[in-house]
Amino acid sequence: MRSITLSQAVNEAIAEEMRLDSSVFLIGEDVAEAGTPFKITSGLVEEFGTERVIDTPISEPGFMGLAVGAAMTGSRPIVDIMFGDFLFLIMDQLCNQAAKAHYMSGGKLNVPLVVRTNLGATRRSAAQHSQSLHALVSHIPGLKIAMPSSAYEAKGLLKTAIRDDNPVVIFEDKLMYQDKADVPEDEYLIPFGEAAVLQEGNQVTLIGTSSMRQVCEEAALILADEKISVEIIDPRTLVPLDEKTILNSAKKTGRVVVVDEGHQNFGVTAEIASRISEKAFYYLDAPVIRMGAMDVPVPFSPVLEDLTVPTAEKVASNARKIIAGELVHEL
Amino acid sequence: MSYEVKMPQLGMNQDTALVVAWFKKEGDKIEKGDPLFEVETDKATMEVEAQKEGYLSKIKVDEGSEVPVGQLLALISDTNEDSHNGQTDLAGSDAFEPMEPDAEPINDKSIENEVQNIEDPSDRKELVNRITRNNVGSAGGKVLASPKAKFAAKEMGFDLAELRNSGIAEPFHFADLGRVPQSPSFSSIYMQVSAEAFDALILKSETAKRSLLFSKFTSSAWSFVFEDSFLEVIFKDTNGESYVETTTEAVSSSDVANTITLIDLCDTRISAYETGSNKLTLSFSQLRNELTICFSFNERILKFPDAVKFLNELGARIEDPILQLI
Repeated sequence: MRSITLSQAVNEAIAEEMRLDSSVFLIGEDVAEAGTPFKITSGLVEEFGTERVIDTPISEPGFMGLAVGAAMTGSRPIVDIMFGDFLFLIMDQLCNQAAKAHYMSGGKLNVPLVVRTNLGATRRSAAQHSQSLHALVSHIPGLKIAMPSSAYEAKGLLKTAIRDDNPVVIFEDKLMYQDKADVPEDEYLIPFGEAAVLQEGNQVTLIGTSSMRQVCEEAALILADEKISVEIIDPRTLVPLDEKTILNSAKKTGRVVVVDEGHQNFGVTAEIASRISEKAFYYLDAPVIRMGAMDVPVPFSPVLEDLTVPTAEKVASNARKIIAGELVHEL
Repeated sequence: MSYEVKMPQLGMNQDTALVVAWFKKEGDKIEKGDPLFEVETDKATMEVEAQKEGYLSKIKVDEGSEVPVGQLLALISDTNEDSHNGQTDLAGSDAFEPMEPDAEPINDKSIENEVQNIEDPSDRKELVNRITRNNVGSAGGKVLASPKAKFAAKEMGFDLAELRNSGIAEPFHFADLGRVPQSPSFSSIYMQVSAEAFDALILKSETAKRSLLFSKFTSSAWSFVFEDSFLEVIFKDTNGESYVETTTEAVSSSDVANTITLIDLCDTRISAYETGSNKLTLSFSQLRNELTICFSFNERILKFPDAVKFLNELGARIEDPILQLI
């Protein structure tokens, strides 16, 4: 099978859906001429023209509001938010309008809109361009949240998102745009709410979202050398969340480490860990461990920045501790 | 006759102390030396033991109360009646002086800070229990165990306090249940089956070893009866040498709840071998065409009906090896 970058996979997904459905259009800062700072949408304006690949002024609230209106009236916009950090600028349009229009109109309005944005630290972009804010929008009912962990997921999930009649926010890890993975030439979709079990094992479950899946896979390699049998799960979408797969695994292994790049406090890891504790309590042989980014603004210093995110060594170390019956956090 | 229990002076500059928990209820019989209640000062927590035997007739101070040193906390009476009619005979009471705690107060600053920083009273109590146990060496308080270990122990009708008595560190985990020291609920069951088909199988094959076949049949029977359970089969010969013969799944040791030892006595005149330990043991002996299988197990770990199911399944496979292929 051919191997392509995550960036190419996203580009293909957008192009394919735009060819299939003339109501799909792309809008955002630098999406047309520049192809975004990450060169993801390069070539699209040549194929689809400036009416469907629209460069905007630097005004996220403006073009997001425009897209919500377009979605309510029959279009299927893909909104490019250049950095996940800029989600703060579109909160009203996204959370108060897009997420609620279907409910508040008694089902008369749909908002088939996709917000494509990114997350991830360690790109030396400092605190305002390095955040992982997916927990923030996962909290709002009416939004679906997808977290691709490779080029394969990026394409399959984005195509599903574009076809969904609800607002979807899809977060790509900005450090993974050049990472390659096997992606079929033939069309495929990845349904929402279906986690991937990437490796089966029976002593500990590692749940990793987005690029933390790779961290979990590396941790599993370290643990494999110690003959520790690890199960790895990628939830793929946070909303809807595939609780069944997660709980089944937790029940099987009795030990879970949840790894996500958002801040640990009040985060995605807490939500998943809490559901496991509530619904698989009697199967747990150790506390469910949360591993998120440190609760500090992401530092600009490379040395400090690298310390803020979960690493394979730290994940392996925590997994080792709970298997040995040691405490990860002091009582 | 009643004895007064008063708040002891536990430190030089201590005016008050917190009653963390009572280990006895009103009406309970008390032996001298029983842990009676737990107190916490700003420096340490400790258990106070009863100085007199009798019945706890009245508790005057609730758990969680901060009380001055010397305050009356409870009454111990000679007879159990006092606790019901509420009469106390203070006139003849000996002043009750609590015994010195049997260990040094905890001076570890970090533990102290930890205790003080916990806001939830239930967490605090659990921590206090834990620290008290670890440092003062008493046998009271809540058993700390993982939910899985607790649930499994309940299913097995097993008392986790036994693990504490055997010195295994808390919190207990599922694997600790397999570390129960030798206990009297060890059992053996015997079965006699025809060995004709099994012997014919060995004769026909040039490569089949009896020990290996026994192991394979055992692990298949186990997997068949206990679907999700993993089994390691160890073969022990009559010279006392042991080796791992087969494993149903490759897993490292921390999850092993089930290891079974096989002993082949077919070449001897011995008819059975029972271990009397928590380990599962199967011995095989043969007289002409009759194979005697003895299965030893601990009923606290493996329930009798499950043992029967497993042995029956093994017997069926030996009598009719074709079952092994299905």
